[in-house]
Amino acid sequence: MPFLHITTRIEDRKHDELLFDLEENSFPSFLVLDAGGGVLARHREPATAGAFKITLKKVERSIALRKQAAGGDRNARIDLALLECELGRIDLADLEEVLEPLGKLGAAQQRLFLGLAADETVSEMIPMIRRGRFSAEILADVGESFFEHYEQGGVPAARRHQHAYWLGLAYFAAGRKDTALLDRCLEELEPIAARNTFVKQLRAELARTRQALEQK
Amino acid sequence: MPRIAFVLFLAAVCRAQSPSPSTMEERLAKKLAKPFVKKVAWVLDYDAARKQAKQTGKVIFGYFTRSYAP
Repeated sequence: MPFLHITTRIEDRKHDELLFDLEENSFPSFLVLDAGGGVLARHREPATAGAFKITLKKVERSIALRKQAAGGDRNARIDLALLECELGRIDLADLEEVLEPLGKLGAAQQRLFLGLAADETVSEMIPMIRRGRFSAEILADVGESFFEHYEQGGVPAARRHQHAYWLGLAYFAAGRKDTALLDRCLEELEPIAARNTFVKQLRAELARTRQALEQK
Repeated sequence: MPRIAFVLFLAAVCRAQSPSPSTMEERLAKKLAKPFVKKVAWVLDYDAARKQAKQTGKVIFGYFTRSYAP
C-alpha cells in the first residue's frame, strides 16, 4: 500500500520525525515497512517503477524465506541474511556475524556475498569519485580497491554501483597496462554506456587508451 | 556583557530567519497540492497505514519527502 510521509518541521505534528526515527536522513527516501512499522527494505536503486517492483519482489521473497528460516532451514537462513543485506536491513558486518555459524556458503551464495562486499566498498568510494568529478586519477585510485574485490570474484550486486565499479577498474587497468582486464571492463561498460551518455564518453576515452596500448 | 549582547543578537537573527508556523503549514499545503499526490491513492496518515497493512496483510511502500525545502 502506498504511504506518503512529508516531513514538515511543524512543531508537535504527529510522526513528523518518522523518517529520522527509521534511521534515514535524506530526501526523498523510499522504505518498505511491515504493519508494525519495521523496516523491510531501504530502496537505494533509482526511483523508477521497474526498480520499485524489483525491491518489492525481493521483500516478498524475504518474507517467504523468514518462514522457512524459522523452521530451521540452514540454506534459507543464509539466503535470508544475504537478502536482508541486499535490502539494507543489515550491514555487511552484521551479515558476517549471522553467516559465521552457518558454515560454508553455496557457490551462488558466495557470489552474492562477495558482491555485497564489493557494494560496500563502492558505496564508500562514491563520495570521493563525485568530489573528484570522475577524474581518471581518482577513478584509477578507487579502482585499486575495487580490484581487490575483482580478484576474489566480487562484482557489485547493486545495479547502481556497476558503472563506478567498472569505470574504476578500467582506469586502474589502463594505468597498469592490463589489457585483459581493460577489455573485460569495456565489455561490461558497453550496455551501461548505451543508457548513460557520461559513461559513454568515458568508455570511448578508455577504448582509445586500449587501442594505444595495442599499438605499443 | 558584549558576549551576552552578541548571543542575544544571534538569537534574534535566528528567530527572524526561521519560518513562522503558518509558513510551514502553507508549505505543507503547497506540497499536498502537487500532481504526484493526486495521481496515487496515498495513505497520508502513518497510523492508518499500519492499521490498513495489518488488516490487508500488505506491506507499506513509503515515499518520504519534505515540505520545508525543495
